[in-house]
Amino acid sequence: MKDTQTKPFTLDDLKKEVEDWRKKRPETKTFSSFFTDPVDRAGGMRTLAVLCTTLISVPLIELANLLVVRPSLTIFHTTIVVTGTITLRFLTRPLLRLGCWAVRKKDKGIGKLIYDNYGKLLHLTVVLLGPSLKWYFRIDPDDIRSAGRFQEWIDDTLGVEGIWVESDISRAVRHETWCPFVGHDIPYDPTCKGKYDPTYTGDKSCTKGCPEYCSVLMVGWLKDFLRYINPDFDLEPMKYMLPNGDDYCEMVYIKKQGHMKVEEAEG
Amino acid sequence: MNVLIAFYSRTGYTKELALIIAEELVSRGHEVELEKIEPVKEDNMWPLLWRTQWYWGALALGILSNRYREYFISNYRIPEVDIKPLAHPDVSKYDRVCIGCGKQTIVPCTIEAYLRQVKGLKGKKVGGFATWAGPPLKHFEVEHLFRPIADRLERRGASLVSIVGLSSRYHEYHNQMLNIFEFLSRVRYGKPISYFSVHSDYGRQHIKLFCDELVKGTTDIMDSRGWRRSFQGTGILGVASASSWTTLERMRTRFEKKVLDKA
Repeated sequence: MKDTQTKPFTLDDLKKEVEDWRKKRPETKTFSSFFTDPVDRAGGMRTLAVLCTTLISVPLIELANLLVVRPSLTIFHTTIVVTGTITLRFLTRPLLRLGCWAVRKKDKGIGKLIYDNYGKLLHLTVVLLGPSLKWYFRIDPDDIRSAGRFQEWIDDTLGVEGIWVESDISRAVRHETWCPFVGHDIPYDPTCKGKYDPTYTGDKSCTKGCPEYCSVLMVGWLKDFLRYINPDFDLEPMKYMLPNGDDYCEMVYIKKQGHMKVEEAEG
Repeated sequence: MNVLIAFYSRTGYTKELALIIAEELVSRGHEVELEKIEPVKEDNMWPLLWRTQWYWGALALGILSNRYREYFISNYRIPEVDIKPLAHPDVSKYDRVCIGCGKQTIVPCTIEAYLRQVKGLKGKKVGGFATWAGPPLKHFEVEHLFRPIADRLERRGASLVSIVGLSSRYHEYHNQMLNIFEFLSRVRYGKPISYFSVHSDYGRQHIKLFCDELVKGTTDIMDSRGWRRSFQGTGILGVASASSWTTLERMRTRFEKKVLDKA
């Protein structure tokens, strides 16, 4: 092959190359290839070494941090930190998913029990973790934009994708462009066909819970948290929602006094 | 609209994604030209591992501290390699430019070389597409790959307007990494990696969204993803530490109130 590539690479060339590649596409090996393939074994051992080093070094780094940087804290605190980390990391998502399940099963039994008390549970998280979350997200009680980090965290936990389209000190607007709850088992159907199309035969269960979970429970939780940060912070009712056939779910954060000041200034 | 799709593909999966995107754009009536970025010498796995292993410790530290992760993602150095001469070294005649690559722990060195060599990027709207082994993890995959690219584009006067990252379900080095990604995907998204692959419904829908946003060209990825704003958090341990500290403080206050006051 020549060392220069000045000849244009056309779409037909690409098609041909991809067709050839598809015939001999490299496939991922099975789990047992670790025992049979030396290259895979070497790579696997390397990964294992990195993982072990990380697992050992994380508590050591934290311990050094606590003993050297913050000597007033104790080893007991390190244990709490590590336990808390694991608990938070693994429980947040199931907790939020539990709410979605409860919305679908709210008519009777344990689903009803969870649904009735889920709001209280979320409120409890605000009461218990409010100061921590405020500190963790560096939320400024005068800046509604900083409060949006809490929403980003929830989205990140749930796998929701969204963008900020407006970001002001007294008003912030976020568009959630994709949500796993809308398209659960009906992948990428932003119009929530499963709910509205009578001919659809797939699983409709999650779509039943989709709008209510967000517009009631999550919005309630966000409002709760916002009011904890600053009583003037609020969330407007959701006008646009993916399950209603809109392109996105719109979350509008407002700071009431900020708006009044702007209006007064304009007036 | 004239679109240039420049891509670097090591195992072939990005090449396939480039073809799908090209066909989608052609079906919408746009003119597409292609640029295949190739290194002068394609390395085997060991030089690649050697080149990227220095970053793994930083990745582990990034779990501890978001602030460090931010710093690392914004500042990590990408080694340079020689690439073959480009067929379209000046992109000023194109309305949109797409840059595609795989993820090799960091941004592939060939893409760094391409971004240094290519001319006429000023004022261009650029789309970024990529394939990686795992699910589209927000920090480890999406931010880790596209943020440095967006930074570099911004320095050249261009802006990243659309991104898409899909799973190839293939890891060149060893299968065990894929098992780890499968586990992470189940924990994080509750779905297998195959849900995020190029040929899945997720993939098809995201490729369409990518093309929509690329043609529209109004979104600024740096802004919409919040990458310009520095994240001031302190990592998972930070929130755990704050939570436990709050709990301890409350317990201490209650203890003082109820027990010590009575005594």
